Amino acid sequence: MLSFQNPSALWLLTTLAVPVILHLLHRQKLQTIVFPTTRFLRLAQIPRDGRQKLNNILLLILRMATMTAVILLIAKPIYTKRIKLLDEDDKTAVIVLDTSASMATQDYLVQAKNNAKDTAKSLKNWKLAAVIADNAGNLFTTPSTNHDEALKLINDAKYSYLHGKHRKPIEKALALLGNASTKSLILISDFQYGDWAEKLEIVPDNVKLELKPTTPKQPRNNVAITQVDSRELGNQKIQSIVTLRNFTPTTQSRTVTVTTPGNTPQQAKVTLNPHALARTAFVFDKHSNDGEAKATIDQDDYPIDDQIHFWTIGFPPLKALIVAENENDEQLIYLEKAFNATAEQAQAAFDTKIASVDTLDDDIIQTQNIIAILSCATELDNTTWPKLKAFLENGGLLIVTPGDSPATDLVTLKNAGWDIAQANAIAKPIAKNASLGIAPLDQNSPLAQIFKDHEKHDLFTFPIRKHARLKNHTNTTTLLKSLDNLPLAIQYKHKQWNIVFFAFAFDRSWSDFPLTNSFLPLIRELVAALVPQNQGKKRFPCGQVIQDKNGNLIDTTKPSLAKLDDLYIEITPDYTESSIDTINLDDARKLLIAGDQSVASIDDDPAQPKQFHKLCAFLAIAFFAAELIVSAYSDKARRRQKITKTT
Amino acid sequence: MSRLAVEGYLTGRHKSLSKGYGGEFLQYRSYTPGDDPKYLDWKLFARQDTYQMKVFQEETQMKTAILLDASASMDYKGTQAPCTKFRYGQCIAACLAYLALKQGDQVAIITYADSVLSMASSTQANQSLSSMLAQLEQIKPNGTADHEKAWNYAQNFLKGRGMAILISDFHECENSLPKLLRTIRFGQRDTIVMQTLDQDEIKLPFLNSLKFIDSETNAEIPTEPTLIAEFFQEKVRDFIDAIKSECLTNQTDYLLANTSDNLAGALNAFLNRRQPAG
Repeated sequence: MLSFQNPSALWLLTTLAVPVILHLLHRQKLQTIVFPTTRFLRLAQIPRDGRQKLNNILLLILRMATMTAVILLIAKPIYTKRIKLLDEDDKTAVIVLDTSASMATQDYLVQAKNNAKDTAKSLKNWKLAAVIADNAGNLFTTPSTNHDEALKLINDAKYSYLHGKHRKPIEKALALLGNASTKSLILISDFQYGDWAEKLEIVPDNVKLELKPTTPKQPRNNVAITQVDSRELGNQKIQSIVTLRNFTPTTQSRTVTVTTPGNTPQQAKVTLNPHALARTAFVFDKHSNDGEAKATIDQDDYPIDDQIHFWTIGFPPLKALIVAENENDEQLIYLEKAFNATAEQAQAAFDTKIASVDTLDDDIIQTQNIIAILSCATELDNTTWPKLKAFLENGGLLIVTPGDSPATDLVTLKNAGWDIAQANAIAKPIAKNASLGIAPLDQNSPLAQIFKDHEKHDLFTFPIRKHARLKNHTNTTTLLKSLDNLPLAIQYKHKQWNIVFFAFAFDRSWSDFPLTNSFLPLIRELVAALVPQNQGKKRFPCGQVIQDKNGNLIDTTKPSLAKLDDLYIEITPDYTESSIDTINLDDARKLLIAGDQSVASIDDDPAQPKQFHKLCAFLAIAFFAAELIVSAYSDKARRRQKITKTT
Repeated sequence: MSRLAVEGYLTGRHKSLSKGYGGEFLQYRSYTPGDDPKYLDWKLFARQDTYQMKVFQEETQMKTAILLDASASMDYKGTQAPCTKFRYGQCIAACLAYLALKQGDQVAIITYADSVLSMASSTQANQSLSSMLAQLEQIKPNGTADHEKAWNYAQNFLKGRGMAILISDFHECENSLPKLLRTIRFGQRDTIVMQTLDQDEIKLPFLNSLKFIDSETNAEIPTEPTLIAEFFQEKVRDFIDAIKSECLTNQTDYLLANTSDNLAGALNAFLNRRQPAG
């Protein structure tokens, strides 16, 4: 049976009328000329040169044939041998129904089930089996001419929360096909890109592969809650930052609702740019019964990722170690005060310790989340640097402020093998009344989140007397910059390393940086934002195998909250399923079919659809070449004829 | 345009054929009794002892009527020609008028089709060459040509002796032309016929089948030019020869002006032919 992979291209056949119309118009039109006198002219039979006419018709036919071949090439014709339904006992078909999380989109599963039922009807005398693609391929029926069992399994199928992995279900289906003389594998899926990116190459050539995609209602949209980061604030409050992601190419708007124990639900409206992330923060009172909380957004075409469960307990304070040359160091006092503040504005809970450069030992270093080296990098001995490296490898945050001679500090870092420290010498005094101040880098920077409309705050305008002139490295981000666009704090983040360099010390000899309570949240929030989130919590996608100490498996089949030993864990949807991109069916076929798809092998198998694109391409070229030859011959003949006539 | 085209040709004044006693010395002749002794060459008599009378070329003012055909057939621009036949005729008329005026002659340009369309003459009050040409410029070719009517009108200007220059393609007037030329020549007028034709009209060089529409009668003839070209050329040759022959019979100068040819070339041919004998 002849069919087309791209049948809409057949509409192009209407363009065949164009050369015909042109031919007719050209034929009928005789040029006219107004001549001074016609009395010397005489009527002459307009030559109806038979050969010329024949040439013109031949040219027309060749042009139409060329166009037809090109259109067929675009339409991709395939010939599938008609399946004989009667008197054939050893014909087996297996329907594999995709139930991955992306099948929760719109009415995909209903469509897929209907598709499976229709397929089953067309396979009346076939043995039919069904496999539900639940990753493992454990749900299946054996081939039988009685289709009821297979249809029941399909009918009862529900979408899972898991990322689609189709190797095992397809292998199972191939096993069920056994040694049947005619084998047909029917895959019903949304062919979501994430599910079908892997190269499987497991379907043999002698199995007729049919791909039946679900059809989306346009336009599809999907916004997901990808994570909620919670932490305990210093004032008996809990802050939850909800991150949303827009998977569509259009701007989307959603209302986020966060429900926490003991508090009334809170809502916020968020607008997301195409394919962009957006965050919104909620602050709740801390209650003794804190625990399971939930964030939801308005349901869209893919509802699975519109809800997330998260913990509001289990936040150990951030362990911060402040290292200074002596305990009277002004910036040490300031930073300690900032970390320990419990005022209204306090944004994170810290467990702060103070150490001098002499008392730094490995046990202290490796248990910290944050280490601040305040203007004393040059004082650290050679044994401390490897310890700090190990600390960074474990995900710690290192904060470095320059000493009296910033260049020496940076040279020290370089000498310790930390090529990340790049700076032009420095501490250049700036004019006494220069008003530089700080400008948070952009609206997504941590400071801009706290101090919205920061330009209006006098707080941010103050003189800086001297500063280290920092130079951006490949893996650095500017966290703070002056109003003159000089980097004042840069973060080096590469692999596990997370270091923040300040261009000035928190010391009045460097600047009039307001070392007051009003500015404490700035430092606290900045530092807290830089520390990896979810201290004491872990997040896993659905389908991840998690075992506790006793070897008990934790159910990760759907988004939920669980406790793993002392750790609070959050099971979230697998966001690879959230993408609305689908794979091209040709590509899916290439990923599935084993071996080279040579024409010969397709021809050998009567069940395999025959493709004609090469033939179409050949014919298009042949017709075009023939057209050129006829055209050239025709021109030459016409010219010769004219020469004959004129002589 | 006219000034440029005639540059180099304006080398002398127009001379009267009648000899007399004023103007430029022409020749000697023997004294006959009754001659005015004022013109006797006394110096020659003193040297040679013969009585020789000095004969002078009399300088006269001449009238030139230029009749330009503005029928529809003149409005044809061939595939190789730079302009229409009428435009070509306009340029020739302008050049000749300039030349005549420079010589101090009187000139009139009469354009006509089935009636006289315009007449611009240097004898009219305030009529300069430029205003004559401006008048000429406004004419659009249309209709058929009535040469006789045009000549009757031109006689108002050219009553006595003078020169008549006819610029036309002379289509459909082989029969009427002899009579016309005789009429013009009757008053001992110098007559010049400039037959203006396009190369297409002579050769019929078209390669494709065409439907020809007669510019004056609107008759339509669909034909294959390559098939009838030979026949056509022969007919046109006969036509040109007939016109030429009539001109010869009536002592009229004939000039074939092909619009594909350089205008200066056509003028050169004309002026060379018009050089006075001797």
